[in-house]
Amino acid sequence: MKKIIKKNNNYDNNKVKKTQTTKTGELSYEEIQKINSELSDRNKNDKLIASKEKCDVIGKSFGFIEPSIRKDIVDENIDKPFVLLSYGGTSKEIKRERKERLRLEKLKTKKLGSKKKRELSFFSISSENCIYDQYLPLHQLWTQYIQDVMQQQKGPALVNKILKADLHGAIVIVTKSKCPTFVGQKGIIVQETENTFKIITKENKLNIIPKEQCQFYLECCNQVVTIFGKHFCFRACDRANKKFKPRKNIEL
Amino acid sequence: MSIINNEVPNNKILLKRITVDPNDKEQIENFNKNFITNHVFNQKVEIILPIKKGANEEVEEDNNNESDKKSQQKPKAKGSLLSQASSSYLLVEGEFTSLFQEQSITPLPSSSNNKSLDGINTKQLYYQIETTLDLLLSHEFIDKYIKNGGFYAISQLNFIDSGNVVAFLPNSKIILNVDKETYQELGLLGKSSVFKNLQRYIITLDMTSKEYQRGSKSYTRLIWSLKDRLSSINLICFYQKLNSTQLQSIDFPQGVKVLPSYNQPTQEILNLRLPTLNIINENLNINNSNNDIKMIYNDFINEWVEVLGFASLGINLNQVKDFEIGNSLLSQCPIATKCLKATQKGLVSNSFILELIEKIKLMLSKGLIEYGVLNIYGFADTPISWNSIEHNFLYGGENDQSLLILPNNKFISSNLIGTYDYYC
Repeated sequence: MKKIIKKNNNYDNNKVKKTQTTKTGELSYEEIQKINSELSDRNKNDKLIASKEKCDVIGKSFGFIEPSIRKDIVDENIDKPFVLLSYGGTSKEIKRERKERLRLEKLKTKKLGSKKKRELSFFSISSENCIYDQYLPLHQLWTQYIQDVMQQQKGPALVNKILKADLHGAIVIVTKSKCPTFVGQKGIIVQETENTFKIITKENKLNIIPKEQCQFYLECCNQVVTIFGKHFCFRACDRANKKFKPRKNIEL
Repeated sequence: MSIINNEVPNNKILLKRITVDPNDKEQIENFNKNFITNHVFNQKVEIILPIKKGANEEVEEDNNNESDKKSQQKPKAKGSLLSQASSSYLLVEGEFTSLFQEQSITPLPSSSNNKSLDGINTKQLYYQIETTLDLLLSHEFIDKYIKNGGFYAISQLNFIDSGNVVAFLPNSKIILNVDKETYQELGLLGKSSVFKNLQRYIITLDMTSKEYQRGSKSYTRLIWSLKDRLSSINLICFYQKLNSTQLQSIDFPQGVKVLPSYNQPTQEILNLRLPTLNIINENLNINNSNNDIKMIYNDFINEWVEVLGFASLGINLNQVKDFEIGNSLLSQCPIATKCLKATQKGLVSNSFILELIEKIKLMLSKGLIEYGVLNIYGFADTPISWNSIEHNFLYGGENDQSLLILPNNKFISSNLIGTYDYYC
């Protein structure tokens, strides 16, 4: 009941304001000046009236409320749950609750999964953009980047650097593979996933090559590197923190 | 003499009996196709011909062997008295001297000129080559020799179980039997082998098909993959046009090392203990309809192959050692007979073998020989043995055949085959 009363009061005030604004929009400039002088007098009277109405409302809400309504107001305040001020986040229950809250928030928020991204053709490159000459500046950028990373190192130090380096833009040749049609393919790496390289060849074709069945030939800083694809099946971001172990068996 | 008994349990021996009408052309063609021209590469050919004893001869041999030895040394110098007695083996020897004549090495006509090889016994000639494969697959060479058919070549000094092997077949097909690691580097499509799955691969190139036409995409890839990646190979080869008996010279492209060479012939007359024709017919023509016939055949084949082995090595056994060997066929024939043994080593063509069979048939019809034996030995390291079916090596890569030619147009072929081989 209390809420209804409040709303009614607000409704009356809004009506008064709206009537004033509608009048001013239709009149010309000279008439507005006349009206403004009249309104200044009228506003003084209105302010008095508004203050009287406020007083009535306040009086009704505190002083002179009917007893049946007053009980409801008191009961509402009593039924409210007890609010505890937290004393630091050390207890296990609070941590658990916070984790659950975060988890539920993650579930509620809608993200695009990798499946849906594939359906929307998020990763794929359109055939109009598969032009070899457009990707040559990417290769020049990569050569600058790899010279900064290498810093004229040789031997095992070079291997550790190149394992963690980014390969987008490098020119790669397939030297050995289980499927003989892959052998001899050459091109610029455009995209690297966990199990594949995507390559653009000189004939303006985009070829997808699986890492696991192939060996690759790569040149950087006047040195030759062979990549054994079977032990290289990681994402580019995961490779940076990965520890690589020496392997005895190189067979495909 | 000590004899080592080699038992190889993994080999098989197959037997086939055929009768061919000399008047039917279809039967003769089928016989040639199924038994001789299927086997593409022959390493060695051997003839053993036991000569029939005339009535006069037997008396002389028993009385004085020395006179016979003299007659062998100078048969033509003897007068007309001995000519009747020793006429049979003289005639036989005279027939085969033209085929098994030792060739004096003469300079061949230069490869640039297309002269016919007159004056040289062209049946014994073949080339030794050292090349890379892309030179042999150039367009000029393919159009001239390979596409029309009749170019035989096989690789040497490479083993089929641990290396890479090539063969050029006369039906314009090329077969590469390749190791697993080279297959992964080569970049040509092939099938995995039947016997050693995923360890060896077989690549077949059909040069008559449209894939390898001039300027096609797959042809450029073929030469790219073979040009600088494979090392040079040793080959032996000869060229013989289809439906012709004579060999012809080859113009090799530049960069090929060529060394022409000849087959090595031998010819001699020996006294060997071989079973007579009656003994063989007794073993083959059994009228019993029991199930024991197979057992009897098996025994006969094993013993017959043993006797042939002694004969081809030129061993004349004493009768004392018969008990140790335990061969019933040998013990049935105590007396040694005169035999003509002749061989050709090298790379022998199939047309040469067909000539030999016709000559042996002539001898049989004249009644100079009891029967004829023709042994054909194949290469152990061929990618193909019979009828374009795969061949491989385990303990031994035998693909040998021995034809027994009997009178009345009867043939018996027994094949000795390794485990990794088929015959059909």
